[in-house]
Amino acid sequence: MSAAKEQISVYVMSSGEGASTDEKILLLAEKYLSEQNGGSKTVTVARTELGKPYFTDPEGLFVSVSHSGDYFVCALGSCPVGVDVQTHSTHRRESEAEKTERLVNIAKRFFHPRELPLLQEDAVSRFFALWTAKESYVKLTGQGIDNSFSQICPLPDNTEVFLRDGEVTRWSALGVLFEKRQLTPQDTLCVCAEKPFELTVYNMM
Amino acid sequence: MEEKLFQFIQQIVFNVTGKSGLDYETDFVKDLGLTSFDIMNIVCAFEDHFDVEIPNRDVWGLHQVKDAIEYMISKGITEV
Repeated sequence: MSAAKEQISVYVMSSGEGASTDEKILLLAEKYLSEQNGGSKTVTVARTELGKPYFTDPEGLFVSVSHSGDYFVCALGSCPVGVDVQTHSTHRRESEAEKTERLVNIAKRFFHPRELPLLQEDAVSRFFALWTAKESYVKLTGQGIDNSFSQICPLPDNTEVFLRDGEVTRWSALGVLFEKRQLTPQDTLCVCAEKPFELTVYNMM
Repeated sequence: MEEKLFQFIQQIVFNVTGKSGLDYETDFVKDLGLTSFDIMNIVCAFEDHFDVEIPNRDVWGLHQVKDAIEYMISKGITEV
């Protein structure tokens, strides 16, 4: 009999909406609890020293947020979770070749040696697949992008699993489970958690 | 020198994010809404231009434009 999976919900909203991040977190947490339990609870959000949001009430509810381009995303679940979203933005007057070169340079600065060779093909998509995985992981751990970021490698032993095309990719690495979703071909979302999970994405845009 | 660094920061932020209207007190995250990826793009642009290394840990202490200017001066940047 397989173990029950944790339920993680990711709410995708427009980043332009007027409410503050904490106001959005509170509204979405109440929505999540209502959908999970059918009832309402008092929700109180706090921040760690490094800015990671967490709930002081209720216990057993975990949160992670991210924003990029037009997106604000909030992951809520019954286990610790990390989420990252990235829009594959092009900078001003930047050609596709210059964009690839910029991302490869960033990768040389921030990526693990195992990750760099993957950028020899399909560099832009693979860059953001790796970046969102790395950043979702450091959000899960709460460490953020610190001096160890380039030592973190979220690739599975079998990189073919990671490189598979598709809207949804799941793999395990670093002792956690990852799930990558393409919101669009140019917008990548990644969620990670320590326990097996069922992910539901609610697009509220 | 501070003014030249300020103008350089303005240009980099505009190139990376399309955002303008900075002053010395502008907070990169609270006022400009920069993401950590935006910030790392800017860090890489600085490092490439000035041939310096900026440890990731130092980056998160540079909340405002003036912090970035003071930091670059402390790293010995004398020309833009």
